[in-house]
Amino acid sequence: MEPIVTANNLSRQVKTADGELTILDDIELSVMPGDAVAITGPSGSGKSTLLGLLAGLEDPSRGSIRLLGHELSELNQDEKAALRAGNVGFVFQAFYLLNGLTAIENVEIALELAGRDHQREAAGELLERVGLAERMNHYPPQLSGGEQQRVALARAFAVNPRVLFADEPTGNLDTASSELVADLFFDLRLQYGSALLLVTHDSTLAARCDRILTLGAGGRLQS
Amino acid sequence: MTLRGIRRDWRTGGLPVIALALSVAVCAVTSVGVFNERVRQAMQSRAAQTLGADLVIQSHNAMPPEVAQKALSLGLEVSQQVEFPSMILTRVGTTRLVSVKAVDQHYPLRGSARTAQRPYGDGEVAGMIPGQGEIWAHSRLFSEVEIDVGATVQLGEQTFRASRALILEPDGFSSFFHMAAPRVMMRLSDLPTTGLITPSSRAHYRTQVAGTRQGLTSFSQWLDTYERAGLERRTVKDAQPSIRSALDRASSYLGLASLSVVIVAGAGIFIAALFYARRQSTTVAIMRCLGASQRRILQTFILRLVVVALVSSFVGGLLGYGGQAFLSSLAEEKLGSTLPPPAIWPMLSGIAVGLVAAVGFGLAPLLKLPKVSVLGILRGEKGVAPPSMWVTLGLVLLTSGGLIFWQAQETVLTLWVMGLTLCLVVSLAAGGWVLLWLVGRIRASRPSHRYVISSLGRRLGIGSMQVLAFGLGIAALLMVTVMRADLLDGWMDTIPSGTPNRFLINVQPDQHKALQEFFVAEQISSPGLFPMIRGRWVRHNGVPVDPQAYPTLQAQRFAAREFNLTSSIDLPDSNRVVSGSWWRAGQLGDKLLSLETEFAESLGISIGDQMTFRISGVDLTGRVSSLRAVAWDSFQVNFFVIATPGLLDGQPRTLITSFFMSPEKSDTAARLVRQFPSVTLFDVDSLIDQVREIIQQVSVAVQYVFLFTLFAGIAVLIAAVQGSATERSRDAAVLRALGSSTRRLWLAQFCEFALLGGIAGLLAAACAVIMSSILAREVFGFVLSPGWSVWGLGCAGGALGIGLAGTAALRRVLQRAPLKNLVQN
Repeated sequence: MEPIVTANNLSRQVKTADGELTILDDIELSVMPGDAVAITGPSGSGKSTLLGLLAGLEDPSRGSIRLLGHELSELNQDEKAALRAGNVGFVFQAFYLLNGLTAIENVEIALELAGRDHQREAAGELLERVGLAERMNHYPPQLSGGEQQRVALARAFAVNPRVLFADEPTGNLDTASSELVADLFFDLRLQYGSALLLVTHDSTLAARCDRILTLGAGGRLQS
Repeated sequence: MTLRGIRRDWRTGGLPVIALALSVAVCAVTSVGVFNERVRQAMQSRAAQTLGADLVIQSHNAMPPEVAQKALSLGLEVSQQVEFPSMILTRVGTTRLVSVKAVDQHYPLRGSARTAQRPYGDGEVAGMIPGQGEIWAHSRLFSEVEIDVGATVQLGEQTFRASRALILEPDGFSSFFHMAAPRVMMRLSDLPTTGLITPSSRAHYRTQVAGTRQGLTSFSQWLDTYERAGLERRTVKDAQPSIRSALDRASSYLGLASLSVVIVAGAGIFIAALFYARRQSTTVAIMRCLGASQRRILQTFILRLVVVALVSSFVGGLLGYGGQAFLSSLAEEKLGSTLPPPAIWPMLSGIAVGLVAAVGFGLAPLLKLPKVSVLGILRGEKGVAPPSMWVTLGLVLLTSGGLIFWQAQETVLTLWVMGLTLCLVVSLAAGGWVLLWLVGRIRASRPSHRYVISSLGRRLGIGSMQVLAFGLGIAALLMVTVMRADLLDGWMDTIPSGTPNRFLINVQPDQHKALQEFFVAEQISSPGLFPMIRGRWVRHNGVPVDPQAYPTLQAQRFAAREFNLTSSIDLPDSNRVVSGSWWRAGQLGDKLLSLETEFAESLGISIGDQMTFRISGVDLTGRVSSLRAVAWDSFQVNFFVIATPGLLDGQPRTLITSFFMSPEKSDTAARLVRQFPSVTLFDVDSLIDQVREIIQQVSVAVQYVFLFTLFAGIAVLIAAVQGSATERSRDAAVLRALGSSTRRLWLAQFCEFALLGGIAGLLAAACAVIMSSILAREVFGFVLSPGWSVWGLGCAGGALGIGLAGTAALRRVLQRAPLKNLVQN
């Protein structure tokens, strides 16, 4: 079986006033379909950057990334976007919902971008699944943090993603909301069978994954 | 410290847009101001030729010697003249009343006299004044007393040779209505030998003065303090209402056009200042935590604003000063004449305008900075509160009002423009709000369409502000482009090619029929003959008129002079009633008067007042029933005072008319004067040319203003885009992560901006049409019929222009890797 995501010899440097700073160095990683991988590490260790690189949201300085069988360096921005549409789901710490759209429209737009038009019913079902049946027509600023993150979960799973990238999905939530979102998150993952790459500080959340990788000093990844 | 702070703040945004908007505004005001001044000086210098000088002081008594001495001491040129009526006697004993003008060797200081070897001949420039023992006489005198050039005539105790026919005296036009007798010009040094002037003689003593603007100003100031009764001052403005009228209109239009740049830029400054304040909220919260007082915070940010304003205004001023050279060269090329050198003061005024605009438009958002909720900001829950509506409105109104008054120099016009600007702002903001709200209500089946629509509907606050800013810019652009053509064409049409270029006065009533027949025979169309009745104003509401009691020189002159009154059944074409009402058919027998507004205002006369005129020893009283705005630059026969036929019937009168005579009919003039020797014919072609020239100058300058409006519009666009760029870049990154293509992102942004631009364009077109119609009526004096193109251009141009420009402004955001956008937000 081919891995969903692989990274070989992956490095990322940025230019600073004091010269070049290495954020990620020689990362090797492979995620198989259905795998759940947690990436932990101290603040500033480059976890979110690694997630962004693996999802094709930014380009590495060196090395190669294969996502869903495609070498990302060979794809342009539009081809990467087309690859993500319908195959990749995202959950961010800051939710990143589109404030101009209602909860249901936020879910619907992910389906539309995946080429599945007029899926209002499917979007509504997912929102019901995350407990927001009564809040479907509310705009993000009218929802609490926990509710917004549940909309983000519905959006991420709406396209039945083969891989899910989650960056601190509970990082902005209180304990009660955090537990609710985490339970929903892992339940949905099991239901949809998506592979998961999860960046988190939360050890209990990381413990619910199959593997835990740690980004240490110097941007190296350790099992 | 301040400079370091500015350098730091510069990168966070807001300040560069403020600086750009200010530089554009100051550049516009400076270049248009300098150009305007140069054109004004050029035109005044040309117009001064109709006065023979830059300034004339006139008295019924011998001129005090210190007047000329003072003018000479200020480096000014001086010429002395005496004008008086006298009888001339030919060798065969024919006598005729003439108007004698004795001039010194410096006459004229501006322009030149033209003389010919035969009456009504082609005039040549006279390089000097009449020789000793010689006179120059008006062509009319030769035919009236039947003498030839070279004949001798007696004037007082002296005999003179009529050496040439006087075709044109440069300063003759201004007084032609008062000059019933033909002119005779002689040397001032010959005057004592005639014995005609004694201390009790009825004469006008004149001192003509010409020179630099500075010298003339100093001299005028000295005259203000020189207390000598009976001294009357005349400038170009007094001499030529047609030129003054055209210059005033040109100045008003250009000044207000350049102010529209300031107001559009002001919108940009305000939005940029809002953005700047928002960006500085965290810094301010931290400063507050570290113990900075509110006062210190306010001082810090105001100081930064003022420094940025100073530097950018100075840069704008310098650019404007350079830019006007380009503008002037265009004008010089088009007109084939050289403009006077540029003055420095419009640049200083421009810089002052920049400072005022920076504070007036940029201060309100900063005032809220010291009052931020520290905890709210640090928790990321709150930002800077929006500025107080009343403070903003107060500052903006005060600034706009002050600037408009400074430019218009007139309270009524200021109130008009202020009212219009306020209506414009309110209409654009409210109209924008309503239309965006309606757009937001549109149901779209696809979420991506809904995203575009809802983005507009959701950002109602900033959206309506963007509509306001874009709308101001588009309205200004429409005003100076599409409406400019309509306005200037309409203005030019007020002096079409057949505009009367000859005035005929002293026509006797019994010559009326014969003259009409002459016109028909010569195929000349005349607008009709108007009665002209001379009378002196003696009582106002029953109280005797004392000219010296009026505060202004103009009013004193109006009150002291003899009026040319007329009576008319209909309102003349180039007149418009601005107050009261024109008489109806049933009122023609009543004793009613209609006054020119400026004349009435300067004399403090209102509707309902009684005015008594003494005509041939008889006092006639009429009631003022209407005030009229008169288009002096229409070159039709116009009067300060018009009466109902009922008031002036039976009074001794002459007739006056104006008509157009094409250049190829020059011999018609000679035939006219031969057939009607008692009439006086005046040529006003040069005046018409000057007014046309002024309109052309405005046309060149307005194209230049258009460019500045465009730049100011770009500043507004940047400011408006910057205000929502954070949210847009975040949304773009999210959509990108979800799989949106570049094309779809571009399209979404374009559609959003295009909708915004279309709405702004529609509202702007409506505002431009309304404002131009009012401007045409109030400033230019004609009724405007705007074409449909303004609507199409407003909507389509607004949608396309703002759509493309907005998308281009977000180019970097759309092209950046999605993760970068998410991290930055």
